[in-house]
Amino acid sequence: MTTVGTTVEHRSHRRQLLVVAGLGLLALSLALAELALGPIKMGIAQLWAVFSGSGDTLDNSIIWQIRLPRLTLGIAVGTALSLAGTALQGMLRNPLADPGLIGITAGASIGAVSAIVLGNLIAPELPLILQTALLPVAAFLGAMLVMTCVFTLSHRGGETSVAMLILIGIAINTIAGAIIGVLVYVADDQALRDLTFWSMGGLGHAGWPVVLIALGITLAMTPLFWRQGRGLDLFQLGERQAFHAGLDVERTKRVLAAVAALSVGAVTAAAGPIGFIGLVAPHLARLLVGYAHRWVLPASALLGISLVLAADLVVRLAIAPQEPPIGIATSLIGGPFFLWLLTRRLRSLPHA
Amino acid sequence: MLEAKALSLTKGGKTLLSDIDLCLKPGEFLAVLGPNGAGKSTLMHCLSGAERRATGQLRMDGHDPACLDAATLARQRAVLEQSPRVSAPYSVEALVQLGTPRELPTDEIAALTEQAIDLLDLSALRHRSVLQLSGGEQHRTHMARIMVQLWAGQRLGGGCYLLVDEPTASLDLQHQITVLRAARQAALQGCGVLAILHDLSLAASVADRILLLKAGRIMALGSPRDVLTRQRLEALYGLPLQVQQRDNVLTVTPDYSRCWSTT
Repeated sequence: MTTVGTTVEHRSHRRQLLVVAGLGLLALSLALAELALGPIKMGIAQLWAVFSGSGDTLDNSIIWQIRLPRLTLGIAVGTALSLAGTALQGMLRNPLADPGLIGITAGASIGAVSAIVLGNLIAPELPLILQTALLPVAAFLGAMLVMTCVFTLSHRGGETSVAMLILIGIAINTIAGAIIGVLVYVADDQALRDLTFWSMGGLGHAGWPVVLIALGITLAMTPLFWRQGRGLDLFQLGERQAFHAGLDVERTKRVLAAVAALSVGAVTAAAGPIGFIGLVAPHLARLLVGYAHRWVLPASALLGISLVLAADLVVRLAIAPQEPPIGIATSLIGGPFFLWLLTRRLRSLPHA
Repeated sequence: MLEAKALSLTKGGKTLLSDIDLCLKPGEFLAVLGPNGAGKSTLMHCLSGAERRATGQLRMDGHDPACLDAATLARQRAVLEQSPRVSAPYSVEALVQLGTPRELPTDEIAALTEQAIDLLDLSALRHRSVLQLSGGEQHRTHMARIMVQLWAGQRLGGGCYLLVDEPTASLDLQHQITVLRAARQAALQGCGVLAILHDLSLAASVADRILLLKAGRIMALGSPRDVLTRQRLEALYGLPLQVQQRDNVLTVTPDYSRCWSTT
């Protein structure tokens, strides 16, 4: 009996390993496409020349100043949003939890917009390194504030209902919209210009320093998400049973909330609000690898990267050289997906 | 030894437990009985270390469970909640081994999982999604998960207590016995077992000692034959009862003819 059990186990793990490897290849080829495609196309040979230091000046500057920061930010955005979405959905035992829908992104936006608008007043006084860091720090604080609100509001009775979570999200998004409106109203011309670019969302507006901060924070947070995989599995039992099974529930919740807020804050500060990645990626991941979080987390991160890069390629290439905001592409895919999920869930739970 | 002295708990101005003195010895099967709202589940939560606001003294092998961290507690004792649930469609096999301590090698976990699946009669369901099972089948799956946790705890030098809240609820007759046999087997192997039950006859047949709770206080504690007397049970449940003893088997049933005639 035992041997039968273990072979089944191994076989299914092999499948998950294959899926994750396949997703890795997908992300890798999209990353190559992100570097190679654009108004000026480049072949593998040209890319190789650029990276080995023998490329011509134009190619060099296209890659190093335009496409590589863009790709780097895309990787950070995809990873951060999808892992934060996976963590929130696991923690709240709610497949509709998404950093955008429940207002975390809106919180980060308040922080970022405040930094852009009010930052011009105080930033000239600050040293350069703090000026660059002001945006992500403010976005993190905004995200953390909303995260705390969502947790206190939704967790009163121990369980979080789908409806409650979505309603809290609507309320927070509305409040955030109003606050941002006020900030836009008082903004000066320069701030208004920065703000418009930032709020359209996109991988192309940020320079290397901001991109590297976003990537650095995301890379630092990824192992922290990873270590909570078993905790996220146990959360599916409900909080009390998870405690009985050996999980320090309160600590895990605090760690995951802070880690998710930090990563969402960092990438939102750099790329603007980008919706639905945190909703779609974990779902597709679970369809492909099942529900064990040690597989869901890597699959979801790779899918998140692929989705962001694919969306960026679409907006860049569709009506080149025009470049509509990437948020339009993610919302066009994500919005209908969300509706489909909602109707499917309502059908399976008539009382929800 | 799991020991409570003068254990009391007040929440929101309501006294849920008062002055509980109790001792669960290794190898003992203790059944906790009492009407709804008597404080049975609350008592179990205090003993398990999940409820940390109780006053009085509580000792699990010399330590206060309310001061131990979740991982240490999970090695010492396994707990089955009253209506255990899971929100993700894990397979039966995956749920049974969910939350096993990482210190244990995978082949050992696989062996324990196999043993629990056999013990709880789940072999035919092992690849089914838990969410598609009936209430009773889900309940058995969770009981198997608890057994794996207990055994895993024993491999790591713990696994001393098994606390189960209405493990037979929503189960058919055959599987009530299946589940209680698993708990009894744990007791025979030296584990202290505390089970909250509602079926008085079933409790009398399986338990070494019985604890009657009434409004958060201990009404009686002792062997089934001493505790389950007609006067006491009628006073506790407010119902005419018949208590019969035949061939060393004690049965308690409502006195149905008098029950219906009084309504």
